[in-house]
Parts: sequence; C-alpha cells; structure tokens
Amino acid sequence: MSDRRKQPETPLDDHPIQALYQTTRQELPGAELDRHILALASREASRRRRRWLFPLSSAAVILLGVTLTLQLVEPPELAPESEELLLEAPDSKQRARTSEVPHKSISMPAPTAAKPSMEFPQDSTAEMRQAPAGFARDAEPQNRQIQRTDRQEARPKELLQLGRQKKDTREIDSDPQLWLEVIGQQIASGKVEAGQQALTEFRKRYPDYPLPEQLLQYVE
Amino acid sequence: MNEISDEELYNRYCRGDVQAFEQVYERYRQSLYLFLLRSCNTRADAEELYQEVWSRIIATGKPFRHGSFKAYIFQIARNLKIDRFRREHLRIVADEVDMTIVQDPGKTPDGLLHDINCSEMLKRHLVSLPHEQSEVFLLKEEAGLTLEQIATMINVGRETVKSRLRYALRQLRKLMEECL
Repeated sequence: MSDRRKQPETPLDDHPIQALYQTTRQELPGAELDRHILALASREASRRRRRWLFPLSSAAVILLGVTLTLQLVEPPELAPESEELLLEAPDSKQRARTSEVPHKSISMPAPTAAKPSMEFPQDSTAEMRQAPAGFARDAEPQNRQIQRTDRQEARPKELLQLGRQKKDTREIDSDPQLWLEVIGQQIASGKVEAGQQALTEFRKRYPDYPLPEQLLQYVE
Repeated sequence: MNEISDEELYNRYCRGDVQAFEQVYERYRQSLYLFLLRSCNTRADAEELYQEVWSRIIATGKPFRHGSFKAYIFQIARNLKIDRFRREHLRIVADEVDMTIVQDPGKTPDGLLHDINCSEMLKRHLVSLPHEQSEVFLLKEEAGLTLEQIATMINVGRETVKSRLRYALRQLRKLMEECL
C-alpha cells in the first residue's frame, strides 16, 4: 500500500496509450451484418408507419362523415307558431307572472246570478264554490276559459290578435265566453255596429247567458 | 453546419424515418462493434451481440426524451455482454489475431511489422486486464463516455471509475513500454 502511495498519480489521459489504441481500431462489422440490421430497421419502420395508417384513416373518415352530416342536416327553421301553439299555455312560471298583470281587455265576469262583475276574482275557484248550483254547469267551462284568457294575455298582443283572427269562427260560436270577448273587442275598437249585430246574434243563440255590464248597453 | 443529434435521429426513426436510422447506425457502427469485439472472447460472439444490441434498439421504438443515445446503446451492449458471460460462464480471453491494420505508406516493412505487433500486443493486454478496468477503458476510448456517464452506467462512484481507469492505463503503459 505504501508503495502505491509513493507512485506518481497516472493521468487519466495517457496520450501514447490512447494513440496506440487508435491504431488498433481497424475492424468493422461485416457487410452482411450491416445489411441484415438495416433491413430489420427498414421493416420495423414500415410496420410503425402502417400502425398509424388505420387510426389515421379511421379518424379522417369519421371527421368527413360528421362534417357531411352537419352540412346535410340543416337545423330546423323555427316554424311560425301555429294557432294551437299561440293559444297553448306557456310555462307555469310565465303563467304566474301574467296573473299579476292587470287585465287590459274587457274581462269577463264569472257568471254569478246576482251581479256580473267586470273584474275577475283572484281566486276564481273560490268564486265558483260560492256560485249558485244552477250556474255550476256553465261556470265550469267558463272557468277553463278564464284560465285560457289569462294565458292568452300573457302572450304579446300582436300574436294574440293574429291567433284570434285565425281562430275558427265555429269555435267562437260554440264558446259563448270567447264570443262575448270578441264582441267586446269589436266594440272597444270602434266597430260598435258590428258588435251590436254580433251581440244580437249572441242573444239569439244564448238567451240565458249573463252579459257583462259593459255590453248590456249595446243590447238592442 | 449543425449536425443533427443522435437523439433527434433516433426519434425520427421512431416516427418511421429509415434514413435517420442509417445515419445513427453509421455513427456507432464501428465503436459499438469494437467495444464488443474487445470485450468478447471471439469475433462470432461479438457479432452476435452486436446484432442483438441493434435489434433491441430497433424494436424499442420509444422516442428519446432525455439522456444520451450513446450511453443508451453502450448500456444495452454492456448488459447483453454481462448476460452472455453469466449464462455461458465464459472467461474473457484474447481474440484470434486480426491482421487488419492501416498501412502507413511512409513506413518501412520493419516499422510496419512493429506497429502490427504493438497493436496486437495492446489488444491482448487489454483483454488480460481485470474486467472492471478494461471495461472502463473501453467505455472511455470506444464509446467516448465521460467519467460520470460511465459511473452511472456501471453503478459505481465517479472516483471508482477514475481509479479503475488509472490502474488500467498504468498497467498498459508498463506492458507496452517497448512500443511507446
């Protein structure tokens, strides 16, 4: 050990030895070996390229299909609202909101025997419970009509008028409450004579139906 | 002109570029072969291992994200070499004499013969060194790895690598005194 310590430290770069070693570096792998390895590498590379081929082509086909489908299937245009939709009830939230809005058109009274009122009670079912038995039959459809009228008023006025114009006259004839409403609107819009004629017609059809106070003055 | 790095070439090959592989193969063709030839007892063993190393590199096909490609291939070579020796209980002995040598046109026949003798002597002495020393010497001279890279590869400290290299050089200098 002590001898080893005394020896001068050998440098890590021994140039004569390295130079001599470089003269030994003559051997090369055989050409056959080179060809074999390069052929192996080539096969593996082409296998890797093919490995991407299927997922890539699949993705391209799917993308193309989706693009074409999206172009062919146009989004459905918003169809003009049908009469049914116009008169259909909006959602409950909107209904609740419209019930707070004061009525602008002529409100139809509940058919109470004593005195028809121009204003609907807030709770029409409570009113119905107070109504005489004789009116129970008539009051039921009327109550439904009241609800529908409420819903209709929640719509924009223009849409409502359009719906009413398109509404079948037979439906108006068969619904006294709706008929009275139309008459009321006619008179309110200045068509007093036409309104009076319609009112006469109404009276002939429904002689016992209670008229709202506003329309009584137009009865001939 | 900036040369494309080994790692970039290998990554290109992983993406299917065969020419990139040919370039990187050309860079390590001789050094890897000589490393194995100097480490193995026969040329046939060296060639077999050489082919196996490249087959592993080709089959791996994973892009290189960090590290050195050079250290990577010599690590594979070393591992395969160790496996082979363990499996076959082989002892590293001198290869058959290879008479291939670059002829210096300015040298006399005596001088040329001296060079050939010295070269063959160095090869024999190299394989006669303790395996740990010859391995460090070859990894430095053939692979061109740094002491840190060698230390990492063979899983020893840097100082141990230095020490082994010093012993190898001292021994070779002593044995090759007449040629120096």
